[in-house]
Amino acid sequence: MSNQEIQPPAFVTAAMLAGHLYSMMETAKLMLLSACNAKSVAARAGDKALGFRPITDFIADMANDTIHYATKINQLALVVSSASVTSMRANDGARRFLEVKEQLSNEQQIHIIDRLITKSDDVQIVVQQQTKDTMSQLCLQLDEIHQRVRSSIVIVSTSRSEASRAGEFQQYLNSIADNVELAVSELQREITECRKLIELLSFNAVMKL
Amino acid sequence: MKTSNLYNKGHRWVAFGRDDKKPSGIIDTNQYIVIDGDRALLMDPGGIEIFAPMLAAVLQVCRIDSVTDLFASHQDPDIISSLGLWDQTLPNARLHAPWLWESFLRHFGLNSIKYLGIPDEGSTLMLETVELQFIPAHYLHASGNYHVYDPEARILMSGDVGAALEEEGAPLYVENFDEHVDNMKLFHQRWMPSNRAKNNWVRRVRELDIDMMAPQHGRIFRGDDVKRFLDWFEALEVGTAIEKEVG
Repeated sequence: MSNQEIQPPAFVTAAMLAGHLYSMMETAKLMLLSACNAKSVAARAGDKALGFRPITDFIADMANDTIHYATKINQLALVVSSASVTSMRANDGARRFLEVKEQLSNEQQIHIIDRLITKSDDVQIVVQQQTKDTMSQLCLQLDEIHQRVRSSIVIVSTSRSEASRAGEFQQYLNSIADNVELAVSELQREITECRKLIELLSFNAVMKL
Repeated sequence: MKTSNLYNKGHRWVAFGRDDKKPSGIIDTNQYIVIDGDRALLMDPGGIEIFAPMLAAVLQVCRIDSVTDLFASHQDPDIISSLGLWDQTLPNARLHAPWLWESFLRHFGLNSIKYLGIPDEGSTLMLETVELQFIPAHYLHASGNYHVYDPEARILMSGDVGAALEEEGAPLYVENFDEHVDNMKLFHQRWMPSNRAKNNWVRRVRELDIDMMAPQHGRIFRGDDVKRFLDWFEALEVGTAIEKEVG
């Protein structure tokens, strides 16, 4: 059995991608919560957490951006999944029309069936082009998230350094940094999974063209 | 497709529906899943037109390989015309559906999923820790028809019983039973053919301990609204098209 045979249908892969993006949104929401907690701790800590304040703003912005882009990609993944279903139904229709054609001898009837086959093929061409465009948009949006996640890794280490200067608030701020670090690592894992699925979808799209 | 948690104590019930991207002109449907560890039962998974958003919504709440079982209360297209696509998605799954409809449902395309016909008297399904009951609801409205009861969560998935025809985006739960009656009356009078079947079902369902009654269309009934529904349904004359015709 070849690799291609054991792959799930494209609509399943696209839906799995949407599932990972949903998890990313949930993680980003937790990150946003951590940023809110950090803001309140920083406010209580006053001058001791001066350096922490801009960090909390960055974390909140990063979480909001992730939610924004993940929502957009999620919608794009659904478009790909729906398009794959449409393509499969058109393909199935074309296959059945061919079976009908093989049983006909009347030229006029064959012509009618040929028109239906062409129509199904046209649907597939449109869907494949739409999928290709959607996939490139999807990759761009994922790159945006990835860029922000990479910056967050630096922010986590800066947070720890700022936390060490916050006296009695150090423990709280470290705990917030831990949460952000955990969320960043979760986002990185999900991005890796998304990239694998996008690669699989792109491979399927190329095979069809 | 909106996802709503109905129950989450050891195992989980999730409702899917109110899909604002659904093509116009098709009836809105509620789909449900019970997730119990690494096994899940997807109930009345819906029509082919909502398959893609439905699959994506399922993957938000569980892994694809944990959907081991499907259930179709009856044979209608809004219940299970997506079967051919689920067949490709979940080739190792099992479909629990009325024995009566097997040769009909196979028209939707069934090559890999194993069809397990539910006998007339109903049956049970053991997931990891939870045993679900397939409760007979024949002639409500299909001649071979079942509901799913979870004695632990005290939820009855009641198929077309309790269904309502409403505007898009209606709330998920019944908030005012008396006002909701107008949304349900025509559906039950016209789609339900048998007063005898209806009263037999009401008598059996009254014996169950139910906190939530979850129909395939419309809103979910909670608490006392379940009893209110049973009282209302028992008193309702159904099969009204015949009466109109006879005059």
